[in-house]
Amino acid sequence: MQLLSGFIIKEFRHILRDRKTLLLLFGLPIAMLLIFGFAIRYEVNEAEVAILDKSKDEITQQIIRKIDASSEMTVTRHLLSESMIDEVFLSGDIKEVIVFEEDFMRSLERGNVVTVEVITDASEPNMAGLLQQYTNKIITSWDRENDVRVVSSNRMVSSSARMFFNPDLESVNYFVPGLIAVILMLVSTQMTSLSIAREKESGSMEVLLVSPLKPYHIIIGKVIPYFLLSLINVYSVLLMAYFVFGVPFEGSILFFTVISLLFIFVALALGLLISTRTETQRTAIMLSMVINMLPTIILSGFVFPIDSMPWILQLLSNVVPAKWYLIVVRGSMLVGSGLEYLWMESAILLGMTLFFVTVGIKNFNDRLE
Amino acid sequence: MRTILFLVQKEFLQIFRDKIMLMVIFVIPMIQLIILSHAATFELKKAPFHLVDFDQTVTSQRLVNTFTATDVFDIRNASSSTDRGIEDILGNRVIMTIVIPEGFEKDLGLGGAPEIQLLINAINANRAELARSYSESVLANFSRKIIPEIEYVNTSSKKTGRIQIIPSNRYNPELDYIIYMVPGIIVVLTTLLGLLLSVLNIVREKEIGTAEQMNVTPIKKYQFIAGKLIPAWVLVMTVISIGFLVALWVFDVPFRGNMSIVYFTAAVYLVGVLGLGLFISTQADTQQQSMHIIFFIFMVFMLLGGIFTPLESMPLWAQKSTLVNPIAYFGQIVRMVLLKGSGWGDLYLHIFALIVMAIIMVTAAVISYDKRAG
Repeated sequence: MQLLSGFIIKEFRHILRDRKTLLLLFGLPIAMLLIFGFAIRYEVNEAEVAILDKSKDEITQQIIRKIDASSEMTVTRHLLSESMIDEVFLSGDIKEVIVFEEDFMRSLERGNVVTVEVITDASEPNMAGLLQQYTNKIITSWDRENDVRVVSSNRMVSSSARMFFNPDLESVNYFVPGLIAVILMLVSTQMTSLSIAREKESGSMEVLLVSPLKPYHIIIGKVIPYFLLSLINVYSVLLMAYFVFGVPFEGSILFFTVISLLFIFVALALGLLISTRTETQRTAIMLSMVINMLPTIILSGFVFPIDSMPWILQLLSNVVPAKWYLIVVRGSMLVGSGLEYLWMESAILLGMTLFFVTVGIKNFNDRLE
Repeated sequence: MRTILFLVQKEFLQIFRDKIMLMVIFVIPMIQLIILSHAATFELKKAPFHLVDFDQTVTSQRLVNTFTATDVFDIRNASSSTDRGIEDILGNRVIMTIVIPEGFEKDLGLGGAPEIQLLINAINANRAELARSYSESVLANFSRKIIPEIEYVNTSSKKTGRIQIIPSNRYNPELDYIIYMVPGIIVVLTTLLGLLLSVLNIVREKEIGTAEQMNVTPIKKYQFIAGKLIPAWVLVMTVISIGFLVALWVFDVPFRGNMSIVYFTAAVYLVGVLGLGLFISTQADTQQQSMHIIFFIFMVFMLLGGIFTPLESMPLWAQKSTLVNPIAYFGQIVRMVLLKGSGWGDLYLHIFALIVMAIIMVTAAVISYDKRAG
């Protein structure tokens, strides 16, 4: 026991001695959360729209002004002919062209059906879909206000929607918890992925091996210091989310802390596993970044909703630890659900921890023999 | 020149003898490209909902059928208690609970406009909004179909004009996300590889001590940097090419434009990326430091570069930041050329920006590499 604690203290000193690295370790998660928290939204912001107005009358002007005034779109060009549409799309800035037909107002007053063509640059499909929706909303709201439209029956089944947990549909509330999961996962894995590879590279591994330390001592000694330091990261990002971004925290701090520690342990153990498998720091870093980065960002539900993925990817997403943690973070922050709702996620994280630690130690043992 | 060749040869040997390294460079990225490109979609598909039907009539059943007939919603659970529906939302089992009030059919028959209630799980604001707007269009469809059937013929309808919106989506009428994501993931993966290969390189030699040996040789600074840059450049260009073949054969991404534009910009872009990596490598003390720094830079470039989320969804200051973001330029160029067929004339500003960045980064790397400091 004394042996182990001595080793842990030594590891701690190693980490604390390198001030620059320490600064990066604690500074970067905060910097990332700040930058991404403020910069990434799901709402569209002033997308550039061009107008081809063949009528140029009062009504088309009114609609164009309405579109320009919306926060989602801004009218930056007026086109003269159809042939210019491709041209503006090809050079990239314009995302949508709205075409009003000739004699728009007069035709409308005569009681005809007039058309507005909404053409989007669907090489960005996501954007195109959203812009269609926004434009549609603006034009329909215009014609409702002006009562030009009488359908054969304007009676309709309507709906009233009640939004649970996030009534103002703030995307920041959705995004920040995801960011926490992704940042903690990636940073924690990186920390330990170097630990053993570094000893191998610098030759000090041999020294450790001839010491009376048991293999599992070495593993535990490598993980514990980073584990404790990671706690600082957990709380710094949580406090930022709450105070800087105003994300609510409905759940229990204790539950959140316990699950966060479990999650960090999974990440650290994964890093350690990578470290035992690689001979040099370079390979360890590349392996941990390449293997971890995109799956964590894409398959965790951070950007893309898992429910809309093909089933095989939904299946695959189950092995991504950040997916489970993300559910817990969102649950604790926005819903206030505790263990009674999130026991499965918690159990899975526990299982993953046990798995990685066992495989890590076994791997390490095998290497020694 | 021969000096550089020897250095290049040495770097290649170092990489090719490490099996895990080869896997990291060639195999894992391609597997990820093939798998992860499918993940990126924002549509709702078979989103589970909970049904609370207090009406239990033929008409309410028809309304439910209209919901399930779309590919968007899928009934997961049904009960006769709103609380049970809310519980399903709390447990994250459904995205929405639909409550049809008692007397729904009767109300419709009497000429009323009954209201149904949608309880939506809005943790994901984006999906909640989608679920609501899809539901509204389902209700509109339903109304259009069913109301004329039960209504007395309305004879007094006067002729009034109305506006019809015709939507059309250029270049990708089906709004297929995969052909949009594949080029983006190629850009991200190759950038990550390029940055890692370069950023770990010089600092590694410093850490192991071989940098000192290099410093006492008559090798010039630019030769040293070139010896580091060329092998990584060749490797990553190979990975990019394989990526494009996968895009063409596996994903049927349309190659509408001129591939020479893509290759030219890829070549320039990579020089800049590797230059940036080498520059940081000369500045860092340990591989660990260089890893943390490059991780940060990469995340910022990637997440603010319009690869996963549209540039227009960022506030204006962040949109402006793309002026100095190489991933944003390269990502746009690749997507515009492949998906739209944009040409040199459309892209010269983007390409010019990448050339400037490449020159600055490589110069910085050469200057900052100090042979005396080691």
